Amino acid sequence: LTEAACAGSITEEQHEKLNALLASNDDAKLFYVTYLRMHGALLWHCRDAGVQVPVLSAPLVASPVFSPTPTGSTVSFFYGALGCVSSGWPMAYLLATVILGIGLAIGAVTYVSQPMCVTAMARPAVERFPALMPTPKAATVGRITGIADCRPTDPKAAVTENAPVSLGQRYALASGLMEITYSTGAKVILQGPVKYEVESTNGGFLSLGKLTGSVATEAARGLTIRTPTATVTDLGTEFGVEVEASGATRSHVFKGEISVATGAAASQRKLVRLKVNESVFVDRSGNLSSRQGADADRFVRQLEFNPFPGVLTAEEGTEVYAETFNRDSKLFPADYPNWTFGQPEPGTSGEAAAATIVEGVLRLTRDAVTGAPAWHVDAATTTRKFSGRMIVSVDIGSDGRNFGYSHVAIRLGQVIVVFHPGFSSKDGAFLRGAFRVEGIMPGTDMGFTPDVDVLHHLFVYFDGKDAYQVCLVDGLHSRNVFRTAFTAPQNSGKAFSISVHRSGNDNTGMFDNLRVIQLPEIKQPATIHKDGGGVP
Amino acid sequence: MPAVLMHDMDAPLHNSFNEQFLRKQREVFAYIVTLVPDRNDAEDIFQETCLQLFQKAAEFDCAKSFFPWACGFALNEVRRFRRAHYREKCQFDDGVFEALAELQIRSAETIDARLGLLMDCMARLPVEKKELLLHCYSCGESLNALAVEFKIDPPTLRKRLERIRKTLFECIETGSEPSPKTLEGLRGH
Repeated sequence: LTEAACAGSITEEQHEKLNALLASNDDAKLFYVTYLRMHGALLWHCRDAGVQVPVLSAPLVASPVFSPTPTGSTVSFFYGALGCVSSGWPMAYLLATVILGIGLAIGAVTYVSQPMCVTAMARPAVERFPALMPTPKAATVGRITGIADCRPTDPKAAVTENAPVSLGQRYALASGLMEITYSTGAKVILQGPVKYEVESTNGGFLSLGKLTGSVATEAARGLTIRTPTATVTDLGTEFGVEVEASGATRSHVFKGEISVATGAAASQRKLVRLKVNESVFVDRSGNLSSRQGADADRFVRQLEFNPFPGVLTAEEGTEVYAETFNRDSKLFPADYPNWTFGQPEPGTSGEAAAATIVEGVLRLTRDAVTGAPAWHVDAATTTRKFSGRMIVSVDIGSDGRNFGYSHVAIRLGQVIVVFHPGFSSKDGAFLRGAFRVEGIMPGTDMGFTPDVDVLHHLFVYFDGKDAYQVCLVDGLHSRNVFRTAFTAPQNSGKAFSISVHRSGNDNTGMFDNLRVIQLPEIKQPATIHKDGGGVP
Repeated sequence: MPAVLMHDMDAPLHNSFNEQFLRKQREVFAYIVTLVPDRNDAEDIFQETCLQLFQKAAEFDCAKSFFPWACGFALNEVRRFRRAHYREKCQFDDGVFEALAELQIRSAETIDARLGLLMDCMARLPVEKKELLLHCYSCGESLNALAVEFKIDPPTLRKRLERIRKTLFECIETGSEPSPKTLEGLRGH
């Protein structure tokens, strides 16, 4: 009867029986609500499964400059700077809410309850429903989105960048790194030696070795890694799993939470939830250890990317300032003594505004008390000043209100590097992203429109004198890379603070992972080419 | 959404509300489904509930549990729906309806613990069954329509889906692997 209710096929007579049963039996009630709650959870989970989350069609640059060492070293700057579309699912919800609001405001009455169905139904029947076809082909569930020094155990097995990843596919690496991005948006980075089988649309079986898992969208939540002794389920997070030859498993949480279930028989099975910086060990017999600290240094968390290959061919920088805004807060500046927040851009008529940190992302909309617009406000400014040759990077974006008409920026002293998420054209001409440098470079077409509700990756190189290079990587489609260069004397020989910055009436600027890498001075002046491939 | 709501949504005062909402929205949706199993009706009610929640966000006491507070709004919307559709058949009696609603709040911890295993249990399903489940749930089309489109008997498709759901339920109830009998049944299709 409960099944018929789920399936929507219940008859009137059956419903009467069900009603009578539920009225007289408490166990039946619990059974019914649990079963229907499961049905509801499946609806919730699967309604997002049809969303075609863009995958990286071009791999990240696997430059030999930065070897794939774990984070924490002087080159870790680049790992943390890419692929961090953190909090993607709440952003997606907020966007959906705003769209809903707009729809109501204009009196639209048409409600598309399953918008993702449009995408799913547009696909051919065979692709949509392979399980029912006479000769089903393996479904593609993602792509290989990056490799570095990757050596398969079987020399005949080819691992190529951008190759599709199918259900049931197995990977065995003797060494090196391979990143899989599932269509849900979940990512795993396999770290050789490793054996991994793709066993679902959002997970796999790790029989040996290490991987790092992360999710960037709500559809990716629930990324599940099984091992011989445990099942690790993501709850909106970044985590590492390591499987020993015996099958014993250690799971670490770097961000958010995970659940770890032991693989023992039902009667002895244990389930534990781990929070950030915790780890737990399941031995080969399925026994669960007490919680310990996480060891992030043992895991590669991002594949490398060199935003300025011409500049950084043979040198390493030193990270001198880094902030991940991981402590949610509205009590500034006490929680972040190295920053000032919500101050007007110097020389403008803006008012102070309140910044907040929610879900590990710095956000600034407007003054929280007066509701006044926050025009040209520095969401956060370093109290420390910097000088000399450096690279500054930040994950940066804007929400979808006033689509494209507010900018976000990074300010190095008096040099403000600006772009407009969501902006595509002006007066009929392409001006995608509307990149500019205030007072130095006019509005420029970036060649792609960085989307709203996404954190993009902005890098600025400063030679310490007057030459700058900019590299902006699209946070959704990493093949979209905008590069430019310019000269500006304002910061020459000066020490300056660095700010992340927004403008506009209503949009929320979003910022994360601001880092400053100090580079050694060079004796000869650099020649910067317009294409960004500058040669010192 | 009225402008005031959009303003409220960003106010720092409501950070806790936003966080709780984002964490619990799936449970609230599933709560609605238990009372109104039709997915389209449930989606509509959920949408109305969300509007109510955001309008009342300032009243949320972060010291209290979000789920029962949010379910109160959802329950009101479901009651409104029942009143509007009272002529339709297949509605539970008021007593049963209220008891099901109340039970979910009272037994929230037990139910949440079981549903916490759902993703794990899905991962254990045979790949082709998992695919079938995802495709059937991912689209709003009726099973009959899907069955016609793929030229199979609707009862066969319904039966396959039923078996998969039962397997999942067995798994979340016991936290165990599907029984050999269940697996055998699945392989037979």
